[in-house]
Amino acid sequence: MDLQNSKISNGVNKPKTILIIILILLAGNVFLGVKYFSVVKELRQTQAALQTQTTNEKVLEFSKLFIGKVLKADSEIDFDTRLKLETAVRNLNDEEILNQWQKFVDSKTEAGAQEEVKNLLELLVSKMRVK
Amino acid sequence: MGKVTSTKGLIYILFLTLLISGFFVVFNKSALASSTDGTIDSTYKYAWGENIGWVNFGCDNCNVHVTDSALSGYALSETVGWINLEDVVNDGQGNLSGLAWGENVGYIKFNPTNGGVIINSSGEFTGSALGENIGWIIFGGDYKVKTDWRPQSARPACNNSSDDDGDGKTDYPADPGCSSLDDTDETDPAAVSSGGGGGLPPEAYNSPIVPEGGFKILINDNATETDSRKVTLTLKGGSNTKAVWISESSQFPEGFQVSYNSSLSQVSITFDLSLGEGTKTVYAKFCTQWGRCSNVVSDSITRVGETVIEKIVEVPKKIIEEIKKVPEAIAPLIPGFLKPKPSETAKPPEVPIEELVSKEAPLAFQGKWQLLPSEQIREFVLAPLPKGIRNLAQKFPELEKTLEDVGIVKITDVAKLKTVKLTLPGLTERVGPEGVGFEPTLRGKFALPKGLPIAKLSPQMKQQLPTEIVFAKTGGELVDFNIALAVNDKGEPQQKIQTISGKPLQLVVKPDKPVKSVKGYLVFKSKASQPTSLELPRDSLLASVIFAIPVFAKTQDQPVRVEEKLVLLEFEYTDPDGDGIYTAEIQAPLIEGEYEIITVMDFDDPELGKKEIRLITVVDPEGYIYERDGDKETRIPGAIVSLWWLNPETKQYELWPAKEYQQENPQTTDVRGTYSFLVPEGYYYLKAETPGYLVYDGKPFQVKEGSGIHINIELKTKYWWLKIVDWKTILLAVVIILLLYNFYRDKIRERLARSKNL
Repeated sequence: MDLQNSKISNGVNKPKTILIIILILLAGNVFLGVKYFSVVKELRQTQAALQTQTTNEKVLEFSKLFIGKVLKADSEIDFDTRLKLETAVRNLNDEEILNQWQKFVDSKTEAGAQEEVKNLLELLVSKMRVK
Repeated sequence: MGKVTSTKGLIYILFLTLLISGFFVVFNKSALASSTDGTIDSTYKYAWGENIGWVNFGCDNCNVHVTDSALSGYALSETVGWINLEDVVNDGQGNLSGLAWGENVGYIKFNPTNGGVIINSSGEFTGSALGENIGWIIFGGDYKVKTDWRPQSARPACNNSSDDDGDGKTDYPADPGCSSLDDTDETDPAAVSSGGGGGLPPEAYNSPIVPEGGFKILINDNATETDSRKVTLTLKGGSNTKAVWISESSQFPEGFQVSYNSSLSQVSITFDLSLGEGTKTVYAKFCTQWGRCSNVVSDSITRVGETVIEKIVEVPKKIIEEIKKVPEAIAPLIPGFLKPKPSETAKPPEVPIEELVSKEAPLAFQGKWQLLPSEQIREFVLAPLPKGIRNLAQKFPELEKTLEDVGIVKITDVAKLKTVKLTLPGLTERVGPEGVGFEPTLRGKFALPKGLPIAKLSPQMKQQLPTEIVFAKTGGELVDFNIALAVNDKGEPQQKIQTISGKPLQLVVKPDKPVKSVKGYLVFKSKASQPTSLELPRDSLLASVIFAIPVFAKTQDQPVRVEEKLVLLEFEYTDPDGDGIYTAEIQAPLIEGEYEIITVMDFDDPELGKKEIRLITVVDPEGYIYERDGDKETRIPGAIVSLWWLNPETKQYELWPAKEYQQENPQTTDVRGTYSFLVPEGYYYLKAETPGYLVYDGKPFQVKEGSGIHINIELKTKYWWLKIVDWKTILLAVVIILLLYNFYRDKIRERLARSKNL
């Protein structure tokens, strides 16, 4: 009788065990899936933040160079410095800034240059993102 | 069951159909192309225009064909649209010339100076074309344009559109020397040498001479078996045999020809048998130099023990070529989003930066110009404070010192006032203990600070009273309002007081010159109080004698414009005792918000005309007693609110003597549950009680002079915990308990049943 009962209980327990394992696996999958998507989302956010930070750093770097070497210059700016400036402005990969830079470089009058400097500084500041 | 089977069958059919369709899509496309009339590769189809971006040579409707003589069809640019390639010429070796034309781009030259486009032996377009309006178009790099057309020199002799053997016939199948398009030799095997001139020599018609024992072919010296594909063929021909055709088929469809040295009795060559095990038969026919051949002879051998390595090594090149084409063939079937993104390196090389920067510094870099407009900067940076504030600072030395100390000396510093709240320390001390803010009898002792009613001022004090400033008092003129100095956005100083709705206000003004009348207007400004940048509390009316020079009164250009402002009240100031000090009493508006009391002085002297003084009045709502019910508040009427004051003499809190200030203490809240007190400076605390609620005993707080007390007080019921659980929660709890009890009973029953069974 006991043997029969244990057989029956074994027969009943097996599907239950399988069901529990499946449920655990499913739950695990759901958990990992949710975790995966949250990590992916986080990664995207981080990438976006990194992109913004990189852009900001580049813009700041160029702005620093521009102010230090151009606005504070009291004599003619040498070729190497201009080369650095040109490289820095192109490294920004921003067409708007590049165009404004070209406008400034191509200025024919003092008043025009002053105007373009103002526009360039305004543009540089507007390109920096804070969160 | 049958339904499941039929569904499965349907799925299989669908799958097979898709597979077959894919097969046809892939291979049908490639079947159209050839090395003489090429199309554009479906993957490598983009060129790059430095000014126009991608140019697609393999779009759906582009229909570009490359032949030995020209290009045809259209290319599509993402920015400038279609470009006609009909006039682009090919010299057969892949050197392109001529002009393409687009309606938006004009002509594009394919062989410009310092450029040119060539299709190489792999079918890749390389080099650059020049557009008259769009600059360079670059071919090459990772994203190239590729065709299956090949230059003539790179094609087999039987498919290169030229008569290589000079027999007047070109390529397969026209030339009899060509066995297929892939044949690399056009030479007619029979036409080794015709001798030229008029007709063939008589021996040309002779049959091959049969050798002794007849024409023979022996595989591995007539062996019966071999375990290798590589075998040795022994050929025995006649004295006029010049060539032998060999094949594994008696029809010689893919046979090859070997030359035969008739001076030898027999010739041996190596030969690769076809793949697979089993009997292999090799056929041969022996031909004269005039192309006359013997009957076909053959020999057979059985191939056994083929190894796997041999199979791999001997995979025909054709199969390898076909396998290599598979990725290209399935490329169009792969959805776009699964393909890798074009890499940045696809862009054409940029012009070196050194070439972009001129050796000579542009004007802007020559250091001759002031790049920043110094005049504007100077004006901005060095501009003084607004006139109003400067006047104020002159009349108020403490203010001037404070402004200097905190670094507010220029117009650019005014912005700092928005974040810095300036207070003027020691102003009360400046007038006390000799000040007039204390009752003479109490001077020198601790007592409630009280203002002095105008009527009780001595003539000397009245003389010292600053002109053209409106002062506000309440509580029977015993409480001076905290009149703050505010600076608005335009930098103009303003007077500002703060009171409680519905409270009485006594207004006092002393005109500079004799007046016909002094009128007042109460005007609504806004619902919410406007933020002010600077507020300086002046401690009392009489302490402000330093305001000898009027700064708030302005000549009135036009009367108070009723149409523009919401005038709530118009009133008249009076001077019953003729001391030149005009007073008026009004009620503060009941609705909280920001108001303006405009005092208009009409001078006797017509030259002086009228002057107006504006006093901003912020009306705060009364405080109220309430009970919280979820996120709602229920006002409690009939609550008793009492105000306790710290008596500095006894150091004890006492009930504030409200009657001295024409007020009540304690107050009983009305139906709106409201209360309020207007008190002089000191330390206070509030107490609220009502039946059914816990007594509220507030924390002590400090009140500066003339401030109203209007704190909203929450009272909690004695049985507040009952509010936490509502009837629904209780019902739910009961149901859960009953369910649990039921489970428990079931368990017990089960146990009993088991024990009985045992």
